[in-house]
Amino acid sequence: MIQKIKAYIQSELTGDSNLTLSEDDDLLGSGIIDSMGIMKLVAFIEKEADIKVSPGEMVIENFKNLNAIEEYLKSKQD
Amino acid sequence: MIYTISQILTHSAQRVPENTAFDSGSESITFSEADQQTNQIANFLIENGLKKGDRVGLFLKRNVKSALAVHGVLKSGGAFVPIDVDAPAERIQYILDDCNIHYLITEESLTNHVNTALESFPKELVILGVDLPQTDYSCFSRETLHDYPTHTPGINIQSSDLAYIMYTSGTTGFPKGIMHTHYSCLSYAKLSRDLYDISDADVVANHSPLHFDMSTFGYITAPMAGATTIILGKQYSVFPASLSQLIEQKKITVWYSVPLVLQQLLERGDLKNRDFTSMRWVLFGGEPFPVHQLNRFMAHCPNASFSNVYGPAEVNQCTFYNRKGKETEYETLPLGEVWNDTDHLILNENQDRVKQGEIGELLIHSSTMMAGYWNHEERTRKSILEVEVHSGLKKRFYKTGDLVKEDENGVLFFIGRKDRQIKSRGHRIELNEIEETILRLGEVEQVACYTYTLSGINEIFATVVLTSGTSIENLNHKIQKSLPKYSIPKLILETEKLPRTSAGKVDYKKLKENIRSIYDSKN
Repeated sequence: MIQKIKAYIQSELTGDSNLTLSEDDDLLGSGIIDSMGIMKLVAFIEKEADIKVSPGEMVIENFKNLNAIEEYLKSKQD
Repeated sequence: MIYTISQILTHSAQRVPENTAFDSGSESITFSEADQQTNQIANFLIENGLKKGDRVGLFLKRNVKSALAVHGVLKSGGAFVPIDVDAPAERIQYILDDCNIHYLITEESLTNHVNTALESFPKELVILGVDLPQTDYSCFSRETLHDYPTHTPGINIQSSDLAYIMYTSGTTGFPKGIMHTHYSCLSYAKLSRDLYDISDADVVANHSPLHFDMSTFGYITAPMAGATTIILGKQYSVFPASLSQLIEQKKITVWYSVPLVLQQLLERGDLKNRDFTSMRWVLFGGEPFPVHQLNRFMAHCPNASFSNVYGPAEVNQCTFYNRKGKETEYETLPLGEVWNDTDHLILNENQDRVKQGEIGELLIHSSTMMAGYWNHEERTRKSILEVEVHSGLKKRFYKTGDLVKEDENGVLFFIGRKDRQIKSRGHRIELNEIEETILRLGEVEQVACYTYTLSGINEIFATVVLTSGTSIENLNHKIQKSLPKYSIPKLILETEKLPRTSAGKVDYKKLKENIRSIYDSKN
């Protein structure tokens, strides 16, 4: 799942599939994802993981890097 | 007594040394520490050859470092020039070149950005904050600063000295640098502190990037009052629910941003689960805030007064409309009344004063007025009108280019821009500049840029006649690289022929009607 998300960020959001993206790279502060990008990413995750991201879950801690996204998805499945 | 804004931190460090000066959510610094560290930055710059009046580029994220850089440069006698780290390299290099920057303060996490921005930039630079081993620039790491003394450098700074230059887009397609002195900036800081009664008990939220004049409230006014400034990083724009969490957690008392941020908080800020009772002032400006949204936001801040702030960057702020309790009087918020130390005129095309209630251009004379545009005496001269206010007494007024009218109580109402300069999400944008840039790309024969308001937001659109053999995709690709993000059209439409008025001019009205029909049919 997280690999799918990583590929999506690289190809769809940064437009640079050669970009090396590691699990703890800051997605937000470094400008990899902007506010439009995060909306697209959340829509993608909702569809792929078949979950609903509530407004209260749309917070930095859940989306700051790939590790955080993975943790968040795990917590949703529990 | 404070005479220049370079004294602000030292003054507050003597008065409230242990108060937090700046806090980004992840790091914070007291006035006492901030005073010493900014002295080190100033001493570093001076020892590396900075002379009074030299410009120092600030290429930084919105964090504590950016505030230290601002005050460090001011203490050194230099003038700071904020640079948008997300701007295209072409624009960044234009600014560096235009005001002849030899000093750049940046940070390690922006190494890639700096590398891209400076690609084949031929000048000599002293860079603090990153190491660029493949270049000829003199680079110093942040740690270098520890070697410099923490005492105030012995530089004699006058109130007429240049304090900062902020670049906005210009009509010629090149950005223009607005110069503010220690005097004009200090005047703003005092007026805004007094109007909103800012004290060392306040916690002020700064949401604006440094290259935006609204940031002077959080970076200058608040520290002058001994208040804490919460510097909100870009990640908070992406996550309104995190932003609202922080407002509650830090017990923010004074807020200032463009209306868009408040709109995002309303939509996605999870406000029903948040406590904003600490808030006593909510300031917004840069573009209109629809009354119905304001009223909705008010419901979440039971103890707050609200202020609609108006003023072009050339004068920073010049009017305010303050309100406590639901807005019921006006359908559109007025600009309000002119604040202290400020005179205004409303003139018609013949430069005669209009009668009360008539529409004319707003002109402002104020202690907060800029010194002029950097390197553009002609442009400065054109923007200023000397008016004899009493016999023998002439005053300089800045021509805002904004059309307003005034009611019998001295309340000003915004009517529109005189030319086609627009504000979108708080950024000032010249539609003509976007058209010129798009034309330069060589992908189009004709282009028309215009705005249309979607859900209360002023959005930019373009209609183009493509050069044969190219595509909208090609054009979009090139546009992404050459325009700052906020001036990229939301949608670009292709047409065979632009609609024209009988006089042969582009018929913007028809183009806007077309956009309306597109969005109407979507809903």
